[in-house]
Amino acid sequence: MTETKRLENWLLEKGDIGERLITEAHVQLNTDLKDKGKWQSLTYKMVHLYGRQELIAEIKKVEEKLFSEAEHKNFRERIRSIFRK
Amino acid sequence: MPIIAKAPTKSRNAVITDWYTKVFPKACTYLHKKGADLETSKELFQQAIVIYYEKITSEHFEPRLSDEAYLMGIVKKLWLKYHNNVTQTDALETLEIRDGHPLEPAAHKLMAFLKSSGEKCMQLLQSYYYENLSMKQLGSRFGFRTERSATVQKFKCLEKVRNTVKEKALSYEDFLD
Repeated sequence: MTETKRLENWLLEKGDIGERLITEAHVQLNTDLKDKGKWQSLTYKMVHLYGRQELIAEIKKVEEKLFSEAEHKNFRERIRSIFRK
Repeated sequence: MPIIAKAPTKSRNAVITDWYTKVFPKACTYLHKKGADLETSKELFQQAIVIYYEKITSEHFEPRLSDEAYLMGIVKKLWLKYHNNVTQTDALETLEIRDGHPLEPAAHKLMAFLKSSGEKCMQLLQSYYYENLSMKQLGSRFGFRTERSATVQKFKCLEKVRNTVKEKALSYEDFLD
């Protein structure tokens, strides 16, 4: 198993718990590995944020389509009628 | 049962469209009765989708209700939060779905860099870590012939992005403050 994969299992609490405990011990003893763990953890956060931004962009695109294209006229009318009440 | 669970092969775009056509009118009826306008209703529904999507793609979620029931429940909670915030600050932006913390400027810069320099790796990584796709699904989306090659490429990308994150974060003075 590669070092990156071992760090992943430890950081994301995946796989064999014994392996994770060994990785944790290595991280405590090895500054280089500890450093990699810190940046890998931040990388997961950035990837998550990137995924969320992509999702928001996709949602906005769907909404724009529903509120602009001719084929969704009934949908728009239905929504507008709710706010006209 | 949620749409994604019923039809895992359906595209995300199609699922979002279904949620809009089936649930958004009901959300609007509820929100309008509470005093929300169309723009606010749109914004709250967008946030509800993000929250619900992240819930159903998480590993431990076992749905017991329909998509509509979950989305409407989230919309109602968001409305309460929004209403309380508006009465205090009169600003929709204060409703944060990002774990309660707005992005620091340095994180914005880092994200912009990652988007411009490593879009393909970021796409691959988010498909696995955010969308929670399997290696098989990852393989078909990105054209890997085997699950093994998808795994190898995923870890290569992870290491590449990790190195970029380290290099860039260390160069932004305010990043680790």
